[in-house]
Amino acid sequence: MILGALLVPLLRTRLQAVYLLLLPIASLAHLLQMAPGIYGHIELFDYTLAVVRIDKLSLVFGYIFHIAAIVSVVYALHLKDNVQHVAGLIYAGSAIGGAFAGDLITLFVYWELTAISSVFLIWSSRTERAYRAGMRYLVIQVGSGVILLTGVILHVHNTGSVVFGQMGMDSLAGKLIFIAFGIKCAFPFLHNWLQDAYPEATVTGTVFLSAFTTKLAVYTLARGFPGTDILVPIGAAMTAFPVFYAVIENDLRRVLAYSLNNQLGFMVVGIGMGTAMGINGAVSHAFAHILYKGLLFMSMGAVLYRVGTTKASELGGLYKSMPLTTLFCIIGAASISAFPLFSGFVTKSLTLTAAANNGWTITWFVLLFASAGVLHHSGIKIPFYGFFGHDSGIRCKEAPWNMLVAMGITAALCVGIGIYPAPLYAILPHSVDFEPYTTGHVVTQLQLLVFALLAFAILALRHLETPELRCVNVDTDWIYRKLLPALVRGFTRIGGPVRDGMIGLLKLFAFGIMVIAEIINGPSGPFGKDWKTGSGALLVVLFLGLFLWFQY
Amino acid sequence: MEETKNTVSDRTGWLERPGSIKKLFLSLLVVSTILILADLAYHKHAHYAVEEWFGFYAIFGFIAYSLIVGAGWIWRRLVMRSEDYYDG
Repeated sequence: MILGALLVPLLRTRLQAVYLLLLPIASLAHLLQMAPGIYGHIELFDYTLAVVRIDKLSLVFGYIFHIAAIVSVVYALHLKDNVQHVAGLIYAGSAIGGAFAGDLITLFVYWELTAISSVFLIWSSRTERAYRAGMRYLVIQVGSGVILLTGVILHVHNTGSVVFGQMGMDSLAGKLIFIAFGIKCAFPFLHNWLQDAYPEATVTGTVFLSAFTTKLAVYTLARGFPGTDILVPIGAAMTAFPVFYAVIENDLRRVLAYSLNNQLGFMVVGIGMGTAMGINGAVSHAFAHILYKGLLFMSMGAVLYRVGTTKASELGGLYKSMPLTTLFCIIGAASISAFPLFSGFVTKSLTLTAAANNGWTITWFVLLFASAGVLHHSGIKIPFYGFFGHDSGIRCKEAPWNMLVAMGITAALCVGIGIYPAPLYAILPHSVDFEPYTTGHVVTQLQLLVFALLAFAILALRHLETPELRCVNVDTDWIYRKLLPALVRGFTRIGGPVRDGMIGLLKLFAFGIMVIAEIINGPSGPFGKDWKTGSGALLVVLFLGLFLWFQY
Repeated sequence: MEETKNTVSDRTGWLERPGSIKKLFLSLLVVSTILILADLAYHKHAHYAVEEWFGFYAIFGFIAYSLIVGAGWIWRRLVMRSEDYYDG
């Protein structure tokens, strides 16, 4: 339905600006006419799939995904690259499909589709770097899908139902699904694919990427694991640690990727608290975040398009050449920093208040600290080093008109939500009893931000800010980009034959397992059905992984 | 990437004129002072006792920001590598 509209005609799409634009708009119009409920029942073997489920939670994400798709398409209109247009729309469509998936099998299909379609936005940079980064991205995304599938199979086996509802973490199935969601949501230590891949995508590709994958994961967490306590510390850690990387990162699009990670933390905390206010905070924050983060990526994309780099060490003084882009970037920066009258303010304070209301004291302090961090890397670093700072001497044209229109629409939405949050509050899953614009909220938030700004001014004037240096900062990707290859190389040097032997051994072992499994788990075997699907599936995944690794 | 062209005349921006930075900094100081004094003017609905301290949010913001930048210096020593680190 929604996706069908997006997908099918696409596959034979001739590049037609009108058509590209009409597609998401038509899909949105269609969505607006649909009543809440469950549609698209399909009988598959013994299970009934519910391809589309429309309720308050999925609707919010449906709306914002559509808006993001429309804006991203406008932003990419100048492109003459069919691969990117098609990949972008399929990607947006599958994220929308994922948000409306009523059962786990449909969810899995869309989950993999987002991974596969989005990687083309990275590969479209058509550089060796991007190719490799895309490969790493794909392996991790598909890996998340495989774990999800394993979890789903176990879950269906245990409960006999494919419905995608609240899961709980008690069973192995729940844990696996949780990890799969966590990978896409960039939990600490599972996060690094994001900072690795997004900055390597094309100018327009990163704008698409920033909207969908991680927010689909936020949605699935909100659907499957609301009120799961462990999410609160996970989210709090997510808000805090990327701050330190964002401070020292030179590539401004990578700074934004760390900042994206930090913003996801606020949403994860809200979901973990699980109260009406926490969920509202998470969902509204996702809504506002897609807009301002997209806006920031768009402004940096415009810089990349005109100048050819987003490295802070090369930029500066661009406000003279790109005044409108600068203005839009500042609006995005003010929104993400949660200045009153901008969108971040009316959504982030929901999560913060929810934390304080429920006595999550340490979390509250971490979130407050992270708020100052956001101001640093997104509020100041991005506009300051990009458009102000020391003049790099670069003079270029203003961004193309379609980019300016896309940024203009998004900036207007950021300010609109900030000034008049009622419509956003009205579509949240729970009713909102919260007034963001009290004297207390406004004054305290302004104090926090303005004094952080003052600290910035003093440090900058005294040249104590960390300077922009050309560099790479190692993160957890070091493990699979340096350590593992080094181990494999060392291993191969000891002897190719040993490796081949290992592969042979593994094959033999796998065969043995199959035979043994047949004997033990046969209808009359001692272990019955229970561990057949469960451990069997796990073992298979493990073996496939090991096999892949050795072959590589 | 498109060729960068020198289309904008090379005027000195307002920011580069002498004294501009100073004016900006002074106005920031004025705003900060007004904001911290605003604490005296209303009653807070605090969840925690610390929130009721005079200027808590202001001090927190200032210190947090400085800490982050300071930590950046340390973190850089630990994790920074040359730009072609992964290409070798």
